[in-house]
Amino acid sequence: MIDRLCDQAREGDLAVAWLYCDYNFQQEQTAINIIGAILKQLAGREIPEDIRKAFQERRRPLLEDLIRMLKSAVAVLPRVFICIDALDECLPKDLPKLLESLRDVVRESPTTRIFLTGRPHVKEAIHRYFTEAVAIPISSNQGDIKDYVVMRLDRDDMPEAMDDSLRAEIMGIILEKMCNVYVRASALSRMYTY
Amino acid sequence: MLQKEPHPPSPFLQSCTKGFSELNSPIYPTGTYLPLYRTISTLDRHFFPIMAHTMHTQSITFGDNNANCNNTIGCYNTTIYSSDEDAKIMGWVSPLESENRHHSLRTDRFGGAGDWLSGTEEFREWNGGEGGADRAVLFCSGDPGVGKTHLRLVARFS
Repeated sequence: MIDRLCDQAREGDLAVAWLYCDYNFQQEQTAINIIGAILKQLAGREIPEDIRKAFQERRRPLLEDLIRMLKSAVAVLPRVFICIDALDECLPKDLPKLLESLRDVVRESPTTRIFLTGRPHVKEAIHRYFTEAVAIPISSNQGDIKDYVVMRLDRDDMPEAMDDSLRAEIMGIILEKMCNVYVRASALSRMYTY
Repeated sequence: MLQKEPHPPSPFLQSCTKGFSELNSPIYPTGTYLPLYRTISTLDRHFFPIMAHTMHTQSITFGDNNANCNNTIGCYNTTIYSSDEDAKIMGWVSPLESENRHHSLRTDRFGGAGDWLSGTEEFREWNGGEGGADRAVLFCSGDPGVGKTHLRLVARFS
């Protein structure tokens, strides 16, 4: 998603800001930090004078300040895309505040597009602030997975350890288990992060 | 007579089984296979935490640390802030960074995974910009690991 947007951005007719939320860093992913991260990307080289001043005075900017600055930054850019991945992993109590902030920005610059991903349960919150948000349910695509497994098996640097029946067994089991394994694998992979 | 040694497992297979041998849940196939799909989608992010400690050296950050100087302006280019203070200010505005994470995803993503999205009617409507602010959001929902993070658009934006 981001790559394609960036290719287009290089041609100069749109600007992109993105953020990947991660459950492991939830406490940092507050509305103010997320809006700040978007502002950083869109403000560009010239740091807004308001921010510089606040920094010099050691005065923490309020969310409202950052929203105001973000609005000004967006207003002078070509079409803006804001992408937030795994919205459900940001600090839950800040989600309404974040969505409200994004709505404020978009209302001022209605051509701005916002791309969000997350678990289904945040849909309700999104619809509260963007009544006509377009929702697309994603399920794992067996074609993608099959191609990927074939690629990984082909890349095995000791092919003599592999034969057709093992290969077929691997493919069969992976595809069969795909539909129900993800949730548990995800939980497990988090455990291994520590 | 020489006794033939069995082949040691290939590095690939070793890497697959590493850390998973204790898995006995019936839902998983034997240890060898599991990590194949561990790497397929969003799960990767749990192995590459992005928000490490920030380190400034004349506004240039090295290694895998947070890189304030790697912040991007709408992807036009990579910004090196003109002074340490600028880099500090941006770190102060928000400690969150996107660049490193995106780089890892970009490298890991496989082939055309997720390309289908841009062909959908919902996507075209959203991208078309009709309906103003209320319709500004495209939300792709799914349970962990279905590949939301790796969605990719092949359409040209108008």
